[in-house]
Amino acid sequence: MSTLSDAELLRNIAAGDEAALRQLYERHAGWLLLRLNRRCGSQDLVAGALQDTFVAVWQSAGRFRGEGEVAAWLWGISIRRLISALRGHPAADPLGDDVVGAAVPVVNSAEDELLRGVEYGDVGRALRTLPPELRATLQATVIDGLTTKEAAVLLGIPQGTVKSRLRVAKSRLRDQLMPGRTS
Amino acid sequence: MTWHLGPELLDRYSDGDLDLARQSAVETHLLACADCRQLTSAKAPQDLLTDIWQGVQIATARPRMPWPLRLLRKLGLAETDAVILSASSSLYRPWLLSLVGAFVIGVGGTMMPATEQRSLYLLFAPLLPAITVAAAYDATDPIRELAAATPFSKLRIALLRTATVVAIALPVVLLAGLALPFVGADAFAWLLPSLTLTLLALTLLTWWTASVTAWVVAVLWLTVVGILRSAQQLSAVDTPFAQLAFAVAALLALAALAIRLTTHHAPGGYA
Ligand SMILES: [Zn+2]
Repeated sequence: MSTLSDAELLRNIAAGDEAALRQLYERHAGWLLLRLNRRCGSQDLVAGALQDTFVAVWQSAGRFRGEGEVAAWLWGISIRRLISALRGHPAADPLGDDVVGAAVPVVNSAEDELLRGVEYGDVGRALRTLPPELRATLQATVIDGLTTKEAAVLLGIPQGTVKSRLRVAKSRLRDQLMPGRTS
Repeated sequence: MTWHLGPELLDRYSDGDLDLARQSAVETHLLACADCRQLTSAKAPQDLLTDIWQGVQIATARPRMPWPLRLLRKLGLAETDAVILSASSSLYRPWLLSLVGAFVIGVGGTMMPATEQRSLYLLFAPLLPAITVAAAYDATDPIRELAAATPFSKLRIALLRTATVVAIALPVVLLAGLALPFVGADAFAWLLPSLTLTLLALTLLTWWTASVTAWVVAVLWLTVVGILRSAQQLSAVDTPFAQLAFAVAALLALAALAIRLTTHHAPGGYA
């Protein structure tokens, strides 16, 4: 009976099933909380973002498009709730399409593809050769799937800096991972 | 899946003890692996998760709306505003107050001698909306906590409550007046004094509690009516001069309220 998939739970939540929301919370809240903790030191902001995430799920579960992992969708919502909190005020429309729709990660280049498959091999080693600020920028944009604007808020640096760091980080990775290729 | 998260890696991830490359590897894996998500979730602080879940439950609770709100909802009140208002059961008291007040005016009026009927109506009708507004700001109000926990402007909540209460009280008192034969032209004469008293009550509520405000406004109006009655001038309320005086007083009260609001003093201590 508790073998419903995440997507099926979302369908039930959209139909107003509170028990389904509870079940989804029990499945996902824990790891989301830990992952948010890795992005922000304030326990209050993280707890608020996680609460907002499941309130948003309750109100807009029907907007899940059914493509991709529910886990990735949930992460996309919660990291954006956290960024809203970091901006000091809630998003004007907490259920806007920018929140719910952008949550499916977009793979947009060969480098991103490589990074997604990051393990203990070459990519991990290459990542470790980067200075910390470049790694943090890569994490926010590629791993978390944030826009440069959102990454700027999360990292507390200007947008232009995010863009330039990202450019440098990607070209260094490319040199290490695909030495034969020129861009 | 070529590998899964071992116990050591899990511990180090939940402690925030991994370098960024490994951390990213763990997080990428977690998105794709439900088993490892479950193991990771067990490492999260369960007390905090319980607290957050309670917050989710409160925020998603949808109590059934009382009938006056459902009526206002049909008349165009926004869903979000209705939900905020319905979170406060104490709105029943002001609504009940306006209904009982109208009933007292009606029944009391028929039992009084004809000469006293007008003063009774003029005494109670303008006071009723002002008192019901004050009652809507009672200190035991659960919406107080809600106001602290929601992104809704506290002022917006305060003024919404006022509008909701008046929207019920005003027609009730007006209908009572129109239905009673002894009221006649006075059925409308009390509207401007009532507006003045309600604005005055809202302004006073930025300083005082609901009960103090209600008493002050009531005593003030009683004094005005008492003076008029002892001077045999009760009918003066209908005159253009008196109505103009009430309009000026209403504007003054509105200006005072606006000053209090712009200095962040919302009625009922919400600010
Ligand atoms: Zn796994």
